[in-house]
Amino acid sequence: MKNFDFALKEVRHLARLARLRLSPSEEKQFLKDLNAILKYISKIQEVDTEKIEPLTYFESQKNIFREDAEMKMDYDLDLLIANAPFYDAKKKHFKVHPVFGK
Amino acid sequence: MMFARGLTIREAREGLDKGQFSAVELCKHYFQKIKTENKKLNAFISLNEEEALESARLTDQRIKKGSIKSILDGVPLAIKDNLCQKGRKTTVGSQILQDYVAPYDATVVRLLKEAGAIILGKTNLDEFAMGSSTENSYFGPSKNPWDLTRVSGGSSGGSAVAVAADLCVAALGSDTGGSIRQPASFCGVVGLKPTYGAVSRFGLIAMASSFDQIGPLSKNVFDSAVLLSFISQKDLLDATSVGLKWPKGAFLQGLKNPRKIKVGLIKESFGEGLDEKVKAILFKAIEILKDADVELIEVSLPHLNYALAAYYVIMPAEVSSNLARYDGIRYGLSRLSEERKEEVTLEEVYSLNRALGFGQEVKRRIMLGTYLLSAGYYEAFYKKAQKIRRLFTEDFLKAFSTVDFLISPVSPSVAFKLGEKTKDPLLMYLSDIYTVPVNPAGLPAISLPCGFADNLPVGLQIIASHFEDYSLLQFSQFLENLLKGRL
Repeated sequence: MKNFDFALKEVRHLARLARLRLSPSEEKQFLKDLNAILKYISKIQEVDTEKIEPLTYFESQKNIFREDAEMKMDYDLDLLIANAPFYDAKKKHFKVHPVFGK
Repeated sequence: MMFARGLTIREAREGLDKGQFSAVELCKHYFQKIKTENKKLNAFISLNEEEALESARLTDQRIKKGSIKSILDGVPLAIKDNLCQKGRKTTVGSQILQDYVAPYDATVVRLLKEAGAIILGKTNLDEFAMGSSTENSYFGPSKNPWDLTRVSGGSSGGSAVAVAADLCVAALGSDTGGSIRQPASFCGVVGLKPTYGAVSRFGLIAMASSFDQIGPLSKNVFDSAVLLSFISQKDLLDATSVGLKWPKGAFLQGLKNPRKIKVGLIKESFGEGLDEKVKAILFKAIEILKDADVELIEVSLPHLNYALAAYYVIMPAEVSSNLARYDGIRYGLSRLSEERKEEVTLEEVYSLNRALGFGQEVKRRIMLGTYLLSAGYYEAFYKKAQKIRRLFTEDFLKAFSTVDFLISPVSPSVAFKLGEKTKDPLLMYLSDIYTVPVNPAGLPAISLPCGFADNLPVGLQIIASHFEDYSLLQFSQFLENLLKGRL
């Protein structure tokens, strides 16, 4: 059975992908926790699933259609906008940070 | 010993209709009780006093006119704080949403309001419903009313405590891997996880979307049936919602022919790892069923032992994807002041806000899910887990071709001590071993209080086939009646 092991380098890479700035103590903690969890979940490798199709949804969920019409939703736009850390209440838009560079 | 104390839905309805108390008086009674009890129990994160009393006044007017909306009109309920209620804080137990005010009602909240129900407040939970004890809540853990040094269970711990301590008549929770059933078991109340698709999740803050389901926690089976009948409607705002075909007019008719019922005991769930005292209590209830001429057989589900491992692949994968939306731009915590805003890039904004706003368990699951979905591991883990999901789901369905219901424990133990499992995440995960398989299989399941071990409540899990929620409730009420006076 293949071994799935984490190294500290991988923890840092994953944190970057997940957009989480981890402290050095968190990195060490997660290295330990994730290796233990991975070891446990790797037991699924024992099962022969050669001819088994993955179950991604149930029959009852198949092809649920609705009218191709506007969905009416009762929401409060002012409340919605005001949840943003930076926003313009008058123009009703969010303020964001620069995407490229500073 | 008695389980649930305080008012049931039927008793509240009778009291209101006979004028023994007004809706406003009932509402005030509960707020008074919450204010004295919540300090020690920590069941509620926020209260909804003004709006609740206003709704109660409207109920009283309707009662006077003889035009009540439903059996729930004026009945005080609590809802888990991952359900959006328009204009109210919805924190999901997290620092990242501690000031989030929902701009709309979740569909279940809308349906309860339309039925005239009063929403007293929002109950405590593990952050983003990730946990089995509410110890992952940013607002501190809820305490078990039977023993304040013990956990309430989780993640719907606040709702379970509120019902058990009679701080509301009944409550809603959500269940992704046992989050309604396990706290219900630990607190000695009824908790139902409906069939996947029975209840709309619109306005439920998502954790793992292919498993999440909203359901009731209550003082008896009848109340869970009443609540389910109001919330299980098809909703265009949740594409997975199909609703339930509920027999009209009758919330719960008695079970006609218990002699024709066949029940399977899940062999794999009564073996090693189950506390002996808990096992003894469960078997007492099983003997009572036998005495009532219910046919009992042992059933083996050969792939069940892989269900928890498969769940801990699929669930974190969905978590990492669902929680990518918390970027500190449109909502959520942001520690960056307006002045400093120009100094950092967007990516740094995301990473900082998420690092500050999420707790340890949430970060752990996001990291794990990110790993499991990355190139090279997807086939070995995610796809493999979905195949195993089919195997144990088919085990369940095969069993339901010969039996009507399956029985297992809810939890391997009674409520554990606060702090007992917080240092070892895997140990905490294993406490959900009997409840987790039900969610990937999409089945309905209930936790029914069936006795006490060391003066702490024990729940029995009854599982039914897809969309058999009504017969599951009928059978549960049948057993509930058999157990009355024998606890």
